Amino acid sequence: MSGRLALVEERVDAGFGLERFSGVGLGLEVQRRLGSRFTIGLHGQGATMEPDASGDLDRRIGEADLSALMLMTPSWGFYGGLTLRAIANDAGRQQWLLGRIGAEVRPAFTGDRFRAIGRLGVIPISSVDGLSPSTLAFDGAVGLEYQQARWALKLVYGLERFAFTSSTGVRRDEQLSTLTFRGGIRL
Amino acid sequence: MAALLLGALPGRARAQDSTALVLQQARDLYERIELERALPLYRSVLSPGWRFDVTQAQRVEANLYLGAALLLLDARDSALAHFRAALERDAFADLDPSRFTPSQLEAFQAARQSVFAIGVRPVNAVRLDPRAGKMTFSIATTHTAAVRCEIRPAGQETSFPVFVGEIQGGLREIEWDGVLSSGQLAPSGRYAFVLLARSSVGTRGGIARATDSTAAYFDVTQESAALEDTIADLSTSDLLPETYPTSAAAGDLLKGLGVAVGALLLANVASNQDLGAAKGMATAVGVAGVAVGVATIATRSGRARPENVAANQQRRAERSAANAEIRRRNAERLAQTVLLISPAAGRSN
Repeated sequence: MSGRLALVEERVDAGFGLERFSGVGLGLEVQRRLGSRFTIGLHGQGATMEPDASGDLDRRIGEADLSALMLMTPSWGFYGGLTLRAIANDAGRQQWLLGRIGAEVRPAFTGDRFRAIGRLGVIPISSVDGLSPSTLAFDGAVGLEYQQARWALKLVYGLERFAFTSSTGVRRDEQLSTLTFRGGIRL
Repeated sequence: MAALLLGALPGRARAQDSTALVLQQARDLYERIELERALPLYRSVLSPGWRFDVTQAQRVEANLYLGAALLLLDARDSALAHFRAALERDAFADLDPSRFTPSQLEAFQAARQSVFAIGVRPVNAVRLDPRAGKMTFSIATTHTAAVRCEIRPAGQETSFPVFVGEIQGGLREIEWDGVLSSGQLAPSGRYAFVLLARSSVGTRGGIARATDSTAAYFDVTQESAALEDTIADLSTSDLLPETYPTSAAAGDLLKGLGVAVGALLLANVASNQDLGAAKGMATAVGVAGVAVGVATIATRSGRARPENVAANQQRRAERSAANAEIRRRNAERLAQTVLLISPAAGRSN
């Protein structure tokens, strides 16, 4: 079980120029290992983001994510997950459903306590209210993980990139960046 | 007469054991006191011109009966000469008191005193349990002698005595429990039982050769339950590295740089160029990656790995315990070992 503290930044260009929102989020995560190679996890996170431009409304983002990691060796494996995300402001609310799959490498530093983390995958399922499925959707992450016998720390920079088309035919690019610090204990 | 006798025998029997038949005929004549007819038969068997095979035992028998017959014919010196010849061939030679006269027995004893010969009987096959029994070696001397009986492993100069002392003439049995002088059970291999003797009568009694030696060979095979092999020493491949290799430093630095490069690629290449990227986040992770790589070099390279040291100690302790148990079981099996004794070729005089 771990707690998450995340810097969240969303960049959107819906045809009206770049909009940028950023803020701090908090979350909780529960993971369980099934055997020596398979891990499943569930996390929830919420954040409030303020716009760079003074005329925009604040945004609130909340998500729940169910993920799985299948290690082929201790150093690499495959991951997949389903994310239910809601982005809202005072004027409206948008719901996202994302399905992702990709590969993850986890080489260990000497001593086996530090591990580098790198992942890259695609998001073949991207259902967003009012938008057609993204023509380009992928995610990636780079970070570090430190594990002791009972506790673990993790610092990860993640990026999700989407290219939607609105119902009016206007291209809409979105990008969500996160810098997540996670601290957890093993129960 | 012998030729006439053989001529009367069937050809097949003559071919098979002519000497035995002639000796049987001579013995029958002796028993009927037809000594004049028996003597030529015995002499013919002992003569150099005898055409058939003659065993050592047959020569000894011929000499004994010839001596006994000659004594009855009042030819004492000749009788003693034949008794001596029998004893020189076989120190175990003797006259049966129930079948020979006191004068013959007395003459034979006189012959014993005038010649010095010793002998060791071939070893009988036996299964010897050193905890419960002993095997015996049969030795003989013609008269009183100082003897030394030794067990000598074949091919070795070392030996150890199993009996030293003076014995009266005649047969004597020497016991051995299968244990070496060191207290260890005789290992499998070939051994010689060596008899060294010096006549107590010696040259005073007119004996030309006062010392003699002979040996009987035998094989010892230890019979015990199969022993277990102990676990071999742990090799390098069985043990975990107890220090971090210095070569790991470069790998750690590369991994740290990899994190930094990955973060920058994610921010600058994978991100939407029109939207820009959160380069501050990438930089933070990149710096952390390099810092961890450098810190790992500083704190780990060439240093001991306590968890591996402990694991190796555990493996060594487990191996030692397993080997101690195997040695204990083997010791129990060895304690039940018995010796299989069998005669071996070879005899020396």
